[in-house]
Amino acid sequence: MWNTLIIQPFTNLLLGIYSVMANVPGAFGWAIILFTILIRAITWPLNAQQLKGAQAMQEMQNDKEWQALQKKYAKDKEKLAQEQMRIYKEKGINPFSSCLPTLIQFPIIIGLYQAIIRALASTPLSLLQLARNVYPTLSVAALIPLNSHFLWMDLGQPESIPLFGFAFPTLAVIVAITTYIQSKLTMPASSNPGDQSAAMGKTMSIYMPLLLGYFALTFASGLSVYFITSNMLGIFQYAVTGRANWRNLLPGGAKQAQSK
Amino acid sequence: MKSKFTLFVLVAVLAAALLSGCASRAAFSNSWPGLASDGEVAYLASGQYLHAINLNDSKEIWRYPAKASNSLQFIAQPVVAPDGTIIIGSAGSDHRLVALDPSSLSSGETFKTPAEKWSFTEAKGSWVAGVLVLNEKVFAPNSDGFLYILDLQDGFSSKTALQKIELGGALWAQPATDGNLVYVSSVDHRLYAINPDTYEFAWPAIDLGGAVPGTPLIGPDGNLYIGSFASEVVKVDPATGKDTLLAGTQGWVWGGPVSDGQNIYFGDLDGNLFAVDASSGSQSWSIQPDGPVAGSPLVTNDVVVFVTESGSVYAVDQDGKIVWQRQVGGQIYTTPVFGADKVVVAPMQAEFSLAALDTDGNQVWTFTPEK
Repeated sequence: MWNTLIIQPFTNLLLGIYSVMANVPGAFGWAIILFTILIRAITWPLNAQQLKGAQAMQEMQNDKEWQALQKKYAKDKEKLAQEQMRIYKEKGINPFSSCLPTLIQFPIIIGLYQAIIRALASTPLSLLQLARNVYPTLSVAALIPLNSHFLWMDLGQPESIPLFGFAFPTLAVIVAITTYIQSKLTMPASSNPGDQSAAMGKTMSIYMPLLLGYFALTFASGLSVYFITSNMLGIFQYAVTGRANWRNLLPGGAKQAQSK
Repeated sequence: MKSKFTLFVLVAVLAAALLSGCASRAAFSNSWPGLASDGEVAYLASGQYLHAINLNDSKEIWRYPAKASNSLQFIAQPVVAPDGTIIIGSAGSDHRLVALDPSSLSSGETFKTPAEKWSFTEAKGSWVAGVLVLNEKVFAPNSDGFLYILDLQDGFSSKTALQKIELGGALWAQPATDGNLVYVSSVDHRLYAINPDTYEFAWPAIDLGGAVPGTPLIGPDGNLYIGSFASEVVKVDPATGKDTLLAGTQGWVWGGPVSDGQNIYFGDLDGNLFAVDASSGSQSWSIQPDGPVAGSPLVTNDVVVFVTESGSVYAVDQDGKIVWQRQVGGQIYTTPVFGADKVVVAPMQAEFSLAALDTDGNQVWTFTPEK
């Protein structure tokens, strides 16, 4: 099921894009970038929904009625939760809508990683499996072997650049930085000191870059190309929709925004 | 809010675990085992060990290394050099090519282990293919696209390449030689001919239109025969490098062809075995076994033995008549070997790692490595 619905289509999509660009240097890297753009385009409405949901949640945190209820039921968590659900219902907020796109990322990440490894076919058995999983419309015999080199990277291997005798993980650092920037840009300002969503956003803006940076450090660099492209597109999406909170990137920017 | 965070953490941990699992499989070079025989001993390169198994009683004589290492993984065909040295490369993250001396065994906790005569660690890629030993030199094809040439007589325990020749593409097939030239096929569709003394190309590489993961055959007429993913087998004149079509196939040709002096035999991944008359070039016969044929056939005792992905071993005579068939189990991609009057096959995903059949196709023993 996982193979049929995720890995096989991802692999074929990557190979399909690659076959069109086979003569372009670094074709497999470009295929991953175009693949990411396509995935981002497909999930654009979901991401827009996430932004909308996050904003609605934020507005609720600043809502006077909710703040009053928080004070009133400070010692009665059960009642507070009931009131919270009531307000969600009244305002038409889906509490999970803001995290759905993030969760959708994970099967895509796992599927893409497996598709990259499968497409690059580094062993005889993996090449045999690749041959079995390619749609008949693709002439895979002519495509094999795929060129796994893109810029300075071997997309099937973790990336690092030798620097003063030390293997510096460039992509892992870029992944962590772009993930941090993206999560910071989407963090709306909150004037409510008891705002759990702001606290969680802050925590996520630290843990997500570390997690994705770890993935980039450990796994095939093709995955890092996906992360970086996806983050850049995310930043672009927030910017063009006017939802990017650029102040958050400045030192003390979040506090300034809160005071306004 | 806490539940959302918990959900995120759980999914993140699951993703990390799944990705780690994938990475492990990739790093551990998941592929079919390598197999060789010197007539008395079978050498099985499988997973983290190279095993030496007595063909008469299926007892494990030794294994290498003494302790399993995640960085060492073996899938390449082991090669027995004329002096008895066993040469094998690792497809793990440690891209080491080692030469082992089976006459110098040391006792480990459970198994004996041969001494390392030398090792070579310059290659950047996995060792998938066996090496060729010719004129006291080792011609070692690597997945990094280089053919490394090592001197067997330099006496160094840590070898440096005499020469490395960039061919391009992953080199997954053991080179072949007719004594004059060394022929190397590549997944990048090409067949190369190299002078073993000057290391120069004898003629420009031939593009065969598809990946070439099999070893070329030096045919009875002195020509080369090689199949490819272009679903054909070609004949190549070793003097000029000119190639002509010998036969088209239904599917990709993986294993190199073999010959009994009269016919050229080869299989394809669509599940066919072909016999083509070497002198006339006309197809003698073809049969359809129960599955794809990835390994090279084996000519022995007047029969052609070949294995299928469906786990069967077939023996056919020169006329294409099935002499015997045995369902061994698992999936068999590795080319079978012959020794001590037995045909030995190495299935994947079977209850055992090796099975030996007598010349009538009866299963004599199986071998499963002890943990």
